[in-house]
Amino acid sequence: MNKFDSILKKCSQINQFHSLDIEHEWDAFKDMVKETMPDDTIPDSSPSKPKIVSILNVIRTSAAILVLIFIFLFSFKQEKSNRVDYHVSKSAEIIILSDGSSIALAKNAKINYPLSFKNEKARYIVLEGEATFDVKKNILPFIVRYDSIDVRVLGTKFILKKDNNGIYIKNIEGSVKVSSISNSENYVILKPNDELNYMNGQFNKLNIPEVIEKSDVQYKDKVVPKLNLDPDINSNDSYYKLGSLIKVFLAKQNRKQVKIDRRLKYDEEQKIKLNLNMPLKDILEALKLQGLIDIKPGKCEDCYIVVPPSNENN
Amino acid sequence: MSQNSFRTPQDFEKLFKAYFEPLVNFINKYLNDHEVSRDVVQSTFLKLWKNRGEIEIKTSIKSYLYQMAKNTMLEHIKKQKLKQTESLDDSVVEKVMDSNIEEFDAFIVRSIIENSLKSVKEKSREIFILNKFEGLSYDEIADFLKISKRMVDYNVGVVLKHLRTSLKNHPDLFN
Repeated sequence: MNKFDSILKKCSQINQFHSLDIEHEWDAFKDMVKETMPDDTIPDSSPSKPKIVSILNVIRTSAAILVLIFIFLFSFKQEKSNRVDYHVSKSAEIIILSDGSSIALAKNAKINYPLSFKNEKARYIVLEGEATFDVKKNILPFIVRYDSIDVRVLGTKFILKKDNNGIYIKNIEGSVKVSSISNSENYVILKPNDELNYMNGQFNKLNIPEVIEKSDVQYKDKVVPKLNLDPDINSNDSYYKLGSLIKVFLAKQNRKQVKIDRRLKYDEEQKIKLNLNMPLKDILEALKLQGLIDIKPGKCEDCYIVVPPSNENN
Repeated sequence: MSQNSFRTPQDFEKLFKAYFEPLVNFINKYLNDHEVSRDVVQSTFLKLWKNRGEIEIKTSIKSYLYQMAKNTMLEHIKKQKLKQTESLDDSVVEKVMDSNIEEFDAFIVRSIIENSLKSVKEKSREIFILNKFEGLSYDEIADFLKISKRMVDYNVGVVLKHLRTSLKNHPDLFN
């Protein structure tokens, strides 16, 4: 019989054995030490606790920092991913922003815009090419960075395009503030129907009789650049491609009122002179007069169906 | 556990938790009063803690504790005799004087077994207790529990294996 078996045998001979709650006994002992030796060191493993606590604090702090870094990176990533680039390569298109504003983009236009304006300080858009904006009123300013200018609005409709003669802006309704990126003090405010040309740091009045200007800005009132797409600069009419007019302006921007008959055929590149500030019915009548379309009444009072011209129907 | 590794609170706590229960039960064997036995062991640990700076242990901490507990118990018996409140005859003192460290080892092992058995299956625990503490043979257990003898052997073996591991981990059981 080895020592283990011998002890086990003796162990079995113990008649009475009380199991104790050793943790409770240890706590009772610590309390007793406190009472009997108030000035002595308490036999508590607590001296190691501050160390453990400090380690835990370090871990907690590190974890908090990591979480903050993660949140920062995540939000940064979100911010980055929140913005998208879009290039209109084939035909004109309309995009609707999350605030309800719509942007009719002409062919070859490039735009960078946020999918959401949540946590944004402004509705900030970067545009290249031609576009017509219909901006919904919102507490956030709507800013379009276009080449060397910023166009700032709260809610309005305006057209923005660029050609060899510089940047052309036409304000359709509301007010638009246009400023130079290099010098924000160099700005003008456009009223409805105001048109403006910007080139080489200079704002040039077009059809507008008066431009609110800063004292340090000089305007060339007499030098009016001629825009290729809008030769008749003193009228409210503009030249539009028939494709854009039908696909973007009628089929998308006015889709609630206008339906396009699939049989309608037209030359997309054909340039049409029109004033888009006219009522929708007048615009349609103008197109009808030019023999491009015909109009049939739609389901509602102000609804129209654009069909091929009568001679083609026949 | 080395001879004098009880001076830091952490080591002292380990020592207390390893020996408090077997010491209480060892003392209780002679005093036959669980609460008094508990007080005796508490006093033992209190003395050790108070004098931890001066005490130099040349044997093992287990032996030292055992001897300290025995002395505290004897002091307690003497005090009771003086008070004449307890009828402790001289034979108790003789028995305490005659006790040896191996007897205390049995209480340590029993303490370990009691705690180890809490973590084994109920069936194995029951078979082990019947065999080792109640003294029943394998045949008697098999007949009593309506199981095979082989099953009894297997269950006792499982508990023994578990116990050996626990005992092996005890700091200085066989010193």
